[in-house]
Amino acid sequence: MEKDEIKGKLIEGAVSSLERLAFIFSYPVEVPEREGMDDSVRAVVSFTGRLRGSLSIELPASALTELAGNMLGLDGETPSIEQQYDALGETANVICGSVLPSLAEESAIFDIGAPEITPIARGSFEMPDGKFEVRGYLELDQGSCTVKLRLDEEL
Amino acid sequence: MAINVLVVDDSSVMRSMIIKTMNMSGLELGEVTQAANGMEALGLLKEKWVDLVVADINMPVMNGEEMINRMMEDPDLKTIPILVVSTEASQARIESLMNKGARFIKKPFSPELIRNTIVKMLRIEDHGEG
Repeated sequence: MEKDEIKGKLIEGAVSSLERLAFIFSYPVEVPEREGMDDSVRAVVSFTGRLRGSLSIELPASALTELAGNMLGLDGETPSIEQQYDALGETANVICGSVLPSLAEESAIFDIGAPEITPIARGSFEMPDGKFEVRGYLELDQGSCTVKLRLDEEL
Repeated sequence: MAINVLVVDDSSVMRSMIIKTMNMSGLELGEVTQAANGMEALGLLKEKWVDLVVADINMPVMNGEEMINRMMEDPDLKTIPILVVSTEASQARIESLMNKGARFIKKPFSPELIRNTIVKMLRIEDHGEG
């Protein structure tokens, strides 16, 4: 499978998951307008099975209130930090569950691990670590969102 | 018929979403109990009767498949209908769960989907939403 095709599936999974889970609308861009300009939070889920690797989503910290508030159906209340991180982790999980089946045959089974949450200070950039990696960028009202898929082996 | 439900998911946000979606679907819910993993769920099931278990698969301590296996082995619990809600929806996984008598829907799901699935599972009379 070509890298562009994988990137398309990753972006499609992220856009639809954000919309269906939390009514957050986003659009894909080639170059993020505000990458690294805001404090952000990253959720990473590892997976094993037919494919091994990890999927991450990084959102501006300011977007997490809306993400968690919408998922919980809170009206005017501010979700706690724990709820915000939990919501981001579940979003990573749902994107992963949406993308992986499209990369493997129908009979493939995956085990998706628990999300790991990491706050990222503005100005931080993560370098690729040599694994097969695909990145997609989305723009939201609150800033830039990065989704990454890393595989232990190229498809 | 008010349905007593046990919702099992390690994410408190997802548990709240599941309960909110079930309420939005128009299903009449009775007592709703929550557990963060399969082990906690089995403990609660020993204490109170529920009409339906709604459970995730990937959870720490005890995952959903292990919980279902333990329920199948327990004469008091094996007749309780189980609906699995998970992000991972491979055909093989769904078939494996269905062979154990469980039903499956993929996250995220609409109120209509969860309503229709539960109505069929519990064979309750459907008077339409709300």
